Amino acid sequence: MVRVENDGKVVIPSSSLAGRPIGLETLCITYRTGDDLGTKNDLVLWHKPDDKGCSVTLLKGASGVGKSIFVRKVLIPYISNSTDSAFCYIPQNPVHVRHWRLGQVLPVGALEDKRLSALFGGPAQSGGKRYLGQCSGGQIARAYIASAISCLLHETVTQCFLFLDETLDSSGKDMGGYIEQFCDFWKDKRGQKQLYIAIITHHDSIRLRYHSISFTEDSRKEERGREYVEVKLT
Amino acid sequence: MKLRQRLSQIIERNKYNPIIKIFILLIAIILIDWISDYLRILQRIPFLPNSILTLDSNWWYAMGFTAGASLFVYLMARIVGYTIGMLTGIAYLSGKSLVVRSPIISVSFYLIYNFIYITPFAITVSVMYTTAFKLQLGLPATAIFLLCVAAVSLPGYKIFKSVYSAISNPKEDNKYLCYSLYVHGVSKNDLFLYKIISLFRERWILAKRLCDCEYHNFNESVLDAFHLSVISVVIIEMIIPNFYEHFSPGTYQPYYGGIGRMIINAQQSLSWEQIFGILWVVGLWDWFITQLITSWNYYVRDRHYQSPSSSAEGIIQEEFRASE
Repeated sequence: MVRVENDGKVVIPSSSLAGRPIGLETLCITYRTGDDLGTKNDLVLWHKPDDKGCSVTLLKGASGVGKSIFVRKVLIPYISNSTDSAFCYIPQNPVHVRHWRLGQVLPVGALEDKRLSALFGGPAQSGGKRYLGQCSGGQIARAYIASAISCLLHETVTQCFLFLDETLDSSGKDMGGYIEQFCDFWKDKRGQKQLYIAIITHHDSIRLRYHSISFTEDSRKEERGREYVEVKLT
Repeated sequence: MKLRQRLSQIIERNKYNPIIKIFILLIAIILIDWISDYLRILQRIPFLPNSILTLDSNWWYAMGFTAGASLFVYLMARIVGYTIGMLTGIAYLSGKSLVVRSPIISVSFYLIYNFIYITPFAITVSVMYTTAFKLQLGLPATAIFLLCVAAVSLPGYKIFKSVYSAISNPKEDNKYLCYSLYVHGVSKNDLFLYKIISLFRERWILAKRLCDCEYHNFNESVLDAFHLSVISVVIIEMIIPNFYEHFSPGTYQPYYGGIGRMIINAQQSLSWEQIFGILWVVGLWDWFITQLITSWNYYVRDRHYQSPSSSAEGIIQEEFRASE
């Protein structure tokens, strides 16, 4: 199960992942990292949050290796069962409900925050009345993220988890800047809460800045007539 | 070829404009009428639009009653169907997106409502008319009660179903997204009453967002609801003699039976031209109101989904053609 350590690090024991078939019957995630002696370490999902109260982890890997399934079928069920944590998940291709207004999905505070409202484009004064249909795809994605962060800010828990499934991939090289802006927004209002962000991405530009977990297709196996893919997390 | 292209462009550009549609329909009627005049043989066929001219004043009064009743039924259906759908759907929702609540209440209600919908409407009307009699309701109250029954049974169910299925059976991505978005005004105030109201409000907004994700189904359901409103009113008029006399007891007019009763009378006297004439009028009425509903849906929701690139593309193409 997912465990939050005393120093704020979030880990998942290797035993929880060893040969664990998840989601699809054809996928099997195996955690294989270990030292030379063969003892397996726990997989670190997030490092200790920084002074902004945020910890960011990138989940990387080729298409179809099970990044989204890992989030949906392994991480989210654990977190949703915990009483002291809340999560938000922006799916890979969320429906763009273009007849919503920005003010409907964002709190007043978010629209008044100049740094944050700049992410959605347009002046902050008229921002709340703008329809999502008047925003670009990237702006809608960022509005969803800001809305999710605002939602987590209102939760009475100490650990908040935000999963972004390729949500910021369209931003290209600006992705790192946007993440920092969201973390700044969180820092100002968080109180004692910690935010753990998992970003599923195919981009390499921000790889060195954050902790990352790589998914690699290790081997294809067959058991009882069913073929499945074994995925290695590193 | 050029004229055809131009016409298609105009139609495509104004596909949500009811005035253009009415204009096209009028041209079609005039054309049919002109052809039927030209080919004398067609005049013997009673189902052409010019059969409307055979309707006397009683038919038009009756049509007025039917039209008014169908509008009342439709508005009732929208209010009742939507509210019941939302409340039943809310019973499904819980605070966390993965926690499954026992949906016994919602499912039971859905099954009962479904049973009412599939019961032949004529039987429902007869049973409810008897019930109103046993409840000793006054005559106007009985008539309003029956119109409410019509609103809930047929058109209300359509709206209920679209709302309920959007909430109780959402796509997984929609569910995650709606649960992850911020909801205004949800306070952590400890007052019990405030907590309850706040929680209900939160669920209501969540349910509405899930419906918004499936707005196409809702748009379709409100259109179907109006068709069913007209149908249910005509069935009531056919079953209950002089239905509108309930509003003014003791006076008799031939048009108090609405078009439903007048169609039955016309069938007995084999007045086929009048029957087809009123069918054309009912069709036009239905079409006119559904155009208004479509325009409203377009203004509120659909216009945000029309690709701006396609219109820009059209302008560029036009400019290109003009330069040629």
